[in-house]
Amino acid sequence: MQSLNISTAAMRGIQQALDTTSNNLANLDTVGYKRRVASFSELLSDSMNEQPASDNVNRNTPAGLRIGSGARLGLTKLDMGQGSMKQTDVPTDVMIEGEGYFLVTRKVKDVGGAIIQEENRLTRDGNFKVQYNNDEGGYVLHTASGYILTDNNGVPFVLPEPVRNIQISQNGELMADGNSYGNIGVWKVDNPDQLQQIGQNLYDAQLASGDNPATKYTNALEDGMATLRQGALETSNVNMMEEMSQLVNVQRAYQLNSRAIGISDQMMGIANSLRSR
Amino acid sequence: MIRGLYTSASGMLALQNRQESLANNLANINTPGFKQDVGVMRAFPEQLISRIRDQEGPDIQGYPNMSGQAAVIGRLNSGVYMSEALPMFTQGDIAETRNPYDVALLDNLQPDQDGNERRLFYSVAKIEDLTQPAQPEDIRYTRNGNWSVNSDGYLVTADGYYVLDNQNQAILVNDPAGVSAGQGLKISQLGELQYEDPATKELEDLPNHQRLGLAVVTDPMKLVREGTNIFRYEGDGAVEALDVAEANDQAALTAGQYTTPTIAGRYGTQQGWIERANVDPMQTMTSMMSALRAYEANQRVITTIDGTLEKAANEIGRVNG
Repeated sequence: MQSLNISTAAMRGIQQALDTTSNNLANLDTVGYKRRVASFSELLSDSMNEQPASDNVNRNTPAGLRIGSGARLGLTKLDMGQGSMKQTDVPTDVMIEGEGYFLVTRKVKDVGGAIIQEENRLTRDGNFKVQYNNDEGGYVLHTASGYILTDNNGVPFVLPEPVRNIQISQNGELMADGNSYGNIGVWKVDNPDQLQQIGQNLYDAQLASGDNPATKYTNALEDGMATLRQGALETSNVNMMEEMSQLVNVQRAYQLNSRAIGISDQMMGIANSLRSR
Repeated sequence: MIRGLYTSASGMLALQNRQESLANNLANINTPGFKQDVGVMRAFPEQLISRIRDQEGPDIQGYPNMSGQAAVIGRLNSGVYMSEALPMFTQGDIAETRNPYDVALLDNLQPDQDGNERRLFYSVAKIEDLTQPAQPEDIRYTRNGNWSVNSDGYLVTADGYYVLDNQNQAILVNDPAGVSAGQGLKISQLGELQYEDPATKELEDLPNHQRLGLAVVTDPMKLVREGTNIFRYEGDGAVEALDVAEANDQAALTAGQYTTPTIAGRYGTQQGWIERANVDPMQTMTSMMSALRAYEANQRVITTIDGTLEKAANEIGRVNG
């Protein structure tokens, strides 16, 4: 009986939707996290054609009986909505207001310590720390996962000395002790759904080592699509109430489908007991 | 053989089909734009049953009463089958998603002069050559407005069909060489495709595209469910594109210029929302339960007939049974 497969397919999809919801809830407090929304899609339809010939005259639809074969998880779309602001007053915390991502980079080394390539990542997480970096020979702005913030040419920010009084203006200019050290780049991505999420709040920028990000993305700060705010962080855009209602909705769908399986099972049992005497 | 055996067996088969159809409705309870199927059960053609080589008939004066003729006993139904699954095209609820690539289609088209229940759909297609408009035979219809943009920058459905504009062309949202609307794509209530010009901050038409390809299907029962939220039209004649004049009627409608319900053009697209499935879980569950019980009843009939046959097979002709 096909109905067992139909309901099973749906339940599998619902489980995956549940995974998405729980991941969103788990990242309720992750800085710069963007929630994912699961959406379902129908599976193919079966068409059965052994209908009586006399049936063709008095029916409304074209010949044949079509029954679908369930549902699956079609897409998990990234919700790019802005998260709310958390004031921290830490001078190296930066929040993007509007569209765009920071470009962060890391040097990948082989066993001998030689640099093989640079990894370029995009992130909305503006939680940076100033730290000395041997490779760059200076002080850099690090993310929590060890990537270095870059400027509007895709080059890491290197401060020659442990500066104080870091000031970041709305349009990205980084000043310290009265000296300007360049502009932070915020890159607008036209189609964030195509970005590959690699965990740790990072997305693969799909840039070759040494490429200027301006060849692929537009600078959102220059276009006026984003502004920076120093001393604040963007919290995740997960709305607890929304996730919980999605949880309820999805759980009920799971329950309904499992009852459908139960009913199909009973029907099979009934058919089975046809010859029980 | 006892005819009832086949009648009940056909009943069980039909109920199994109905259960499958109900299970599919329930499975798609969270599928955007899904339209519920309603199974139509139909009796096999009615037959007349008669006794043959009958001697007796009522003696009616003036009517010859010839012996050896077939005498009609009455009518006989030899079972039931599920002949079709009618999609129910009623509007589903809409839910907010805040995603720019989610578009709910609200359809309040009025029946035309012939009383046809017209319905509105998005046209989608699988296209090989994206520079050309989609061929009419490739165009499919869907109510699922849960879209995304693929790696080439085209607006696609969750199953990879290109969403078409009113010229039947795939809609390019992110053009690396030209205008990239990206997440800033704006779809107006009338389905117009626009983007905000970064320089002037004003809404401009998306280059080469005016509006979504909304199609009016006059007889939606002639749509064949292909699965993956897609319907194919198999009726006579073509599906009309939604008339721009009809579209503009909406303004006139809100202004209260129309009083008769026959005026067409009541529709709206709502960006950032999706249309939910129109499946009613309670009703589906109840139908499932009644299908189960009917199935059980048919099984009882079969077992009873089996008992009768058993008597015939084992007890007739046995001495001192």
